[in-house]
Amino acid sequence: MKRHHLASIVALSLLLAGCPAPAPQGVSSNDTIKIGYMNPLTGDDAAYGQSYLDAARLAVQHVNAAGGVNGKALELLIGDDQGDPDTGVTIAKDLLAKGSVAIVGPGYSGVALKVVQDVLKAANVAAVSPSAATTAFSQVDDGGVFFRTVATVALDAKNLFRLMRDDGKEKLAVLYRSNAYGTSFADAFIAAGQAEGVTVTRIAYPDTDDPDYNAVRSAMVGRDAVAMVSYPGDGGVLFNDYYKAGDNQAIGLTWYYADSMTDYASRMTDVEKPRFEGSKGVTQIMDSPYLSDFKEALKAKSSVEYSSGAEAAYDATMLIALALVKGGVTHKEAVTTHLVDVSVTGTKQEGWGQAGFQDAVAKLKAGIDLDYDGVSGHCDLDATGDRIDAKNIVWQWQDGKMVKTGPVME
Amino acid sequence: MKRLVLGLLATSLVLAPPARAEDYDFDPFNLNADGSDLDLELLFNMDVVSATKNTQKLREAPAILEVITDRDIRERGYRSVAEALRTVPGFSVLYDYTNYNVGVRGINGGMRAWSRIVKVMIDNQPVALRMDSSNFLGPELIPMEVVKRIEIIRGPGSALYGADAFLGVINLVTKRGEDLAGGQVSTGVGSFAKGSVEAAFAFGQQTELLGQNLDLAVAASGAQADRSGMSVASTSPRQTTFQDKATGDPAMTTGDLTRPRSLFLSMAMGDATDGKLALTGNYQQGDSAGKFLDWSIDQKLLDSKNRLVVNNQFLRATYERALGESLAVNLGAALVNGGPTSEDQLDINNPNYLQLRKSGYSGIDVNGEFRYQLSERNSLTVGGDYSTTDQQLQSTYNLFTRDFGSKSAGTVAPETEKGSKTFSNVGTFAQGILYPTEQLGITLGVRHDTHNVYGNVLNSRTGLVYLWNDAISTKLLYGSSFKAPSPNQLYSAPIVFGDIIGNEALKPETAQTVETELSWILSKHLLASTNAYFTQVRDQVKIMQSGANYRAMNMGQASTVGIEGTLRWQFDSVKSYLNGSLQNTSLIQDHAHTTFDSQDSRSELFPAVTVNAGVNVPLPGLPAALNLETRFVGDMKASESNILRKSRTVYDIPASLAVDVGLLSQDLTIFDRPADLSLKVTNLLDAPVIYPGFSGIDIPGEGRAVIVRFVQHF
Repeated sequence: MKRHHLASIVALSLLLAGCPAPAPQGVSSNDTIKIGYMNPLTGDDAAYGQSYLDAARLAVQHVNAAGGVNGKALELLIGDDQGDPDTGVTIAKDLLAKGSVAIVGPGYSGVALKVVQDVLKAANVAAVSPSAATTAFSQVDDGGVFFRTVATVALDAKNLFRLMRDDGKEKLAVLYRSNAYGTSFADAFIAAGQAEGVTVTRIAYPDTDDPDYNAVRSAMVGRDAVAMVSYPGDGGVLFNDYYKAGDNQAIGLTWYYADSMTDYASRMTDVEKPRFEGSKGVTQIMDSPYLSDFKEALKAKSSVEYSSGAEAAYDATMLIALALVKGGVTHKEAVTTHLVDVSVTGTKQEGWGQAGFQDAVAKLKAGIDLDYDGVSGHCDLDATGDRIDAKNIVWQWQDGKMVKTGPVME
Repeated sequence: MKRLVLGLLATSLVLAPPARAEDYDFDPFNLNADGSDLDLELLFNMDVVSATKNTQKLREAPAILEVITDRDIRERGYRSVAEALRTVPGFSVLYDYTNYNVGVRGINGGMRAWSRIVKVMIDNQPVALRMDSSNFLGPELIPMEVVKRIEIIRGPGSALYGADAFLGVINLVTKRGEDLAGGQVSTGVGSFAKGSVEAAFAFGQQTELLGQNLDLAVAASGAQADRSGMSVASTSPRQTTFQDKATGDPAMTTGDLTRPRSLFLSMAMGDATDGKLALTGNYQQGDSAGKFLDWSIDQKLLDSKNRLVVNNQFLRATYERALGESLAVNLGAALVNGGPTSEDQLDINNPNYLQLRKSGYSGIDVNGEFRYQLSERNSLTVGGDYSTTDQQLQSTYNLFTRDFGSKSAGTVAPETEKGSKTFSNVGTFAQGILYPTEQLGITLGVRHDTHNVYGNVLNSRTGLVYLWNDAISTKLLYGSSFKAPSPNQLYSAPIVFGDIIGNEALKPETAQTVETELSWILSKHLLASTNAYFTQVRDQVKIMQSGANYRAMNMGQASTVGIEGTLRWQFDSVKSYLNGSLQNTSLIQDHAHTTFDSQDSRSELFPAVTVNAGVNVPLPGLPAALNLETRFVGDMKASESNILRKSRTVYDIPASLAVDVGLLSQDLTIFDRPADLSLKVTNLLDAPVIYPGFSGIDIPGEGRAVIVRFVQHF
């Protein structure tokens, strides 16, 4: 009997020896500097949030490969705000509780407004958004914690209006989602019309992923072109329902799109491709000598399709890291204090990525005033934290892809 | 891997003591000397067919095989195969109130898997829904009245059954007319949620027709239940989405009706020696509201107008006869058909139209097998089968519910039309069962499949079964298996915005399993069985978020090691069982997926530990028997879909302990015919049970419910 027991123990030991070792625990020590990332990572707009996340991760990888920040590695903490302001507040509090000294994001304007007002301002933690483009921040006190590597919608709205007019469209409408982004875009679009004496029909729909096309349909009758200021989820429903209702025949609109619809390419079905074919929009052009290399590096790291503007997320992360380097410390005040400093006026770093960061750090350590040039362009921020060097470019749907056809618009 | 194989080998050899029959002071084949039932003996020596397609004793069958008999079903009050599977070690049964989703030995197929990792058969006829290779396991599968036994194999079966016999095989052996020997009607009412009603009918008879034996069995069952009034589980990452923003009150499901229907028919003439012709038919119809399905939850609705009505049916003819003394032939042909019906409709939260999906299929299966009996126990079987299915690739249509531009209410317009595609497979197999000694049985099998989409697949098995004596057997088994990509996984169009899109590059999942079992009649009243296994799954398929959509992807490999054990104790008419399982599964993804890079390598949706126990006791002095069953399901990692929704914070679904108690009348007769009256209380303690869900919600388990049933035989 004892022999059996012994043998059983041996056998079980052999069995257990094959068991996989316990999974290593995630890095959570105090030896890292934590940066939060907020964007929709699930749901209708996950594609963009994931692509931007990968860009931020790439920046963190480059920073850490270059020796980190002030001797410590960066660690990216990830939050899925689902594009919802209330969820965003919860996520932001969580990211701060975990020690984030700054946040890349939020990506949505409405989320950014609420998170800055309700959480970040009081905590004096910087948010550097790669895509929250609403002009509403000019009307609120953000406590000096909100920065962005994207230009405001004022630029996009002005140039989308210009594009439609240049195409000979006279009876214009702007169809928009009633949130911070959509409303400020529509306001700027209508203002551009007023400046030229053109009356623009304002068509708002509720801030929902599931809009009712029937509710906006009548307002579009008699127009010859509509500017859609939507996200892929809700915008896709409205545009497809326009076809399903037969209104491509009955009304015959030409559609134009705001920057926020560019990600529709990643989800366009074969049925939709001919519907969208040829219609146009404007997007912020973020060009630099480094952009193609950046896209290659991102493609190698990411399994999701590149989302337009992901380079702005990379630069947002880099600016946070450089602000910390300039401050010579690892705490949150360094970011709010030095982020604009490192983006404008001074000597530009050589190259991008790991080498670029190493060079930028060397310059900062040498007391040289740094003007970071990003993969998205000069990436210059004004004193309020808004990006001031952006331009637009015209793009067009071609076979289900967003193709930048030009021209560039100032 | 080598260490594991060695470990399993050593366990096999060492745990099985070289006991001899004379070590026992009783005759294991005369357990009923005291007049008690024969259950333990019967169980150990029960005829089973699923391990090799040959009739073998359970203890000799080269598979880890569990049997649930019609008697178990009656005494324990199981109303579906899924209910029965909950008591089987190594199985984890999840439910989303549309379909059951079984996991086996640490692996669950995940989102919309619905038990696709096992092969479900009725009398050897595969009954998976061919569009997505899911399986019905609820009351819509078959009227339980005609189930003679459920043979459940944990482990690979592809060397014999081909595709989809991946991690397990569930074969329902049905009753013949002579088993039913008359008719029965049953009816029941239940108290779960807003209540349920059910009814069933079965009739069987053996008679003579044109000088031939004619055996006829027919059964039908149907039920209706309203499960409205449920809210998402407290563990849900998106719980607040389904709350009233002002009051915080949870939103409740409304209109959550289910109406499963099932029919079964069998006719047989002749006998296996001179020729036996049999006809078997089965109709399954699932009908539910899909309140907790991932895509419906993404619409943020619990009051959706979904109605998911899907049917699945087959009609099969078989012919078997002896060709001389040693050779037998078995031929079969089946027509299969199914898919969403015209009543199927999906609420995608658009006020103007509902979504319709079309993914119907029809196909033909033919098979032929020759078995050469070398001697009483030694045989060689060769066979082949051909299956062709014309599959409408999942397409979507809009049903306009009100006038909408140029579309008037009631119009159906195509949205995405994917056309149809033929899926065909040719399989050939050979199997030898050899007994070089009286005690040692060797089973060798190999099968080759050629599919027009995913190509050639070769699987094999080796089984060694050693019968130490009449009371002890050990098994050492190896087998490979594969799970074929389903048409929906390969080619599907999204049914809603952001939904699953097909992945034509999807490869079959493959698995290799080494397992060993020791079964031992320890005493006159006690049967013990334990097994250990190691399974390695490669190219594991999961539905993962890929950009804006979901997509089935080969994610990497999973390695599972575990042990399972069962004790059955019987004394007089008191019967009991205790079983449990312990497993550790580790995932290794080939490349980091950008949406999920957790350091937690555990498998989702499967508990490390399960323990089940049950006892059936006649009540002294009362014409009734008490049945008590309890199920402990350990905590399990939530779905990766939900972990994403929780900002990648890994969390667990808490463990649960459910107790069911039932009373069944004994020897009741009405109108001089047998009758059963039963009362069953499920989840007696109303313990919290949570099923893991997807898209940010977990699913509330069934609370306490009372079911009363009456069965009248005639």
